Amino acid sequence: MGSIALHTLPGRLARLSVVAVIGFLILPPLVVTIAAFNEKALLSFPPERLSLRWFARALTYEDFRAGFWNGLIVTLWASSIALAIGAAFAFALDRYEFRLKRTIETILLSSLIVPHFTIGLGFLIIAAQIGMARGFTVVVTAHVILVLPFVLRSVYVSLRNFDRRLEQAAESLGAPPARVLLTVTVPLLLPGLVSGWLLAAILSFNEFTASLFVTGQRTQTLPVAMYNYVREYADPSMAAISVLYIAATAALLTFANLYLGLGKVLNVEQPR
Amino acid sequence: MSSSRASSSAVSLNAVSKSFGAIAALKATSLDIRPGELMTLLGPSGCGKTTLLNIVAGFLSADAGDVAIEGQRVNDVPTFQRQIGMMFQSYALFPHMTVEANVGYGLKMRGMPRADIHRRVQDALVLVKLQGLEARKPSQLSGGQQQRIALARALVIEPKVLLLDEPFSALDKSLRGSMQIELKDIQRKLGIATIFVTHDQSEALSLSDRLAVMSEGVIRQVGTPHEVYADPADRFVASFIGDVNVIPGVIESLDDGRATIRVGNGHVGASRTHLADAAPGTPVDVFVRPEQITLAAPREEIPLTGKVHASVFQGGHTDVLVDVGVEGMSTVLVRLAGPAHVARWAKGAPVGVVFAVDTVLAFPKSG
Repeated sequence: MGSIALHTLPGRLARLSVVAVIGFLILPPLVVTIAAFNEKALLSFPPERLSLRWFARALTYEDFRAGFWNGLIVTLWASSIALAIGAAFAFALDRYEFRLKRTIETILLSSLIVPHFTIGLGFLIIAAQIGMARGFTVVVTAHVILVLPFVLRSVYVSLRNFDRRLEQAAESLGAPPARVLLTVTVPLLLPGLVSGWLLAAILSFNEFTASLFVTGQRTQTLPVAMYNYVREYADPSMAAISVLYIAATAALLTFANLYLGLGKVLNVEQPR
Repeated sequence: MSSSRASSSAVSLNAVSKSFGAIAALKATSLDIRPGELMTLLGPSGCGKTTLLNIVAGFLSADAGDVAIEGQRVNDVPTFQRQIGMMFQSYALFPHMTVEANVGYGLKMRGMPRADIHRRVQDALVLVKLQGLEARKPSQLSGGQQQRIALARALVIEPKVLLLDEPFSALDKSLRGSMQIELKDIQRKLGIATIFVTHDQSEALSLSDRLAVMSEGVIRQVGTPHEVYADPADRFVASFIGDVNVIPGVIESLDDGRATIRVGNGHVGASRTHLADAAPGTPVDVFVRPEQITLAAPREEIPLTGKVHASVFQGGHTDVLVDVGVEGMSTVLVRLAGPAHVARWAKGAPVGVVFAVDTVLAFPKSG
């Protein structure tokens, strides 16, 4: 009962579609990963001989190195600022009634529906208009706008699930508001805050479309540097970078799970 | 405003009211809780009992009126300075802290040295009979254990008043009874003034020193469980506390303090307390407890006759439901002590219902 007999036609179709979906999810990174080890300067598949030379090239190519550090700077600033702003607004939206509440919420979430190139272009025009150089300030600001909805949602959902009676219990035990916040509210919201920040960081580090408009030669982030590279060369160093990207992101998430105890904290029995 | 009346009370509420929008959750309510007393706020949901508790705790501020704790007006004192201990319906234990940290939280907030906190926490855990689990997290404890921790956490700070918000509603029925007895023992031992909120009338009757019966934002009656049960102030209290049969009758005659009421083919006496303005011929409702009536073989001159609908053996007593052919009521519940009644009053047997007391409660017919 409850299982589809696999020899029937619907059963076969179901099995086939599952295999197809998993296949299409795994195939692109798999192909790219294999291509990254090609010895030749071609993105051909399958490679005839294996080599690590394109990894070496990717790691030593000056534009990629600069792009990586630029991207890291932008990501750390953008996701941290977005976290501070997003958490503050999520808190206000959850706890207080104020004028234009819905409107403000809609505006904060609007970058979900505005295309990234529109935001990038807009910032480009504004920066030019006020005579601002295409420095990190513009890039970081654009990224904050782009990742804000995700941080806001993440923290807001955590707040919605938060049992306010825990704060009342702390108050009744003699904790002034600031101590309640530090000893009860923030520790219990930490998983939401951390996952919001992580999501923002990953999105920001991978962001290309808006970055293309707002970065300059000095501030270009890794995706932009990769784009510029592809316009001139078609060798497997792109594939090598992809592999490094995937490995780094996976490592970051694994680290978060293990050492921040995300999974553990998330499994805490939610009162209610 | 520290009148002598207020200062002799653990908690004093003076004409406290609270509205939420257009809804008056609490209408000008006054109540004194004496030192060491367990006062229950009893009523159906929406009666204002939780609002009142939250006002005492400081989670809500009253629209009007004064709240005093040990004679000191606390209207403008925030919760964290009120020195209350509160136990929540969900227990509200901090899920990210160990049992030890949960119980010690209030002492830590008071800046007590670590060693003292440890000692006091141990004492509190002895008091609630739950030691050896200090390193556990709340999610690793059973419901009953969580409740003991919540109680220890509220008591360890030696609050001026203990507030209990439906603390037993999340427990199994079997566990509830023993926890109630333990709570009452601890409360009496510590002599701590306690406000206990519940909608469960049997819980209220068994635990309270006094109880306040509430409905629609008003305290209907304050008294000991016995007073409220035996001498309810109005129809609401009479029907909310304990099981009661409401039987229609008519006033036949009145003399000084007493009314004689015709019920069916019989009569019963009632106090005139609630019939002050009534005249002979006025229709009334007779409120009679299941243990105030008994069964007899049907004959004339008996108040009500009918057929047994069901006999339910309850261990120490038997509940017999009788179908009576009276307009406006379907069955009468009769509670007979002893086990031998089930066989005698079998389903379908013709039976008469007679009053076992000579004075019952009667109220003018409502509406």
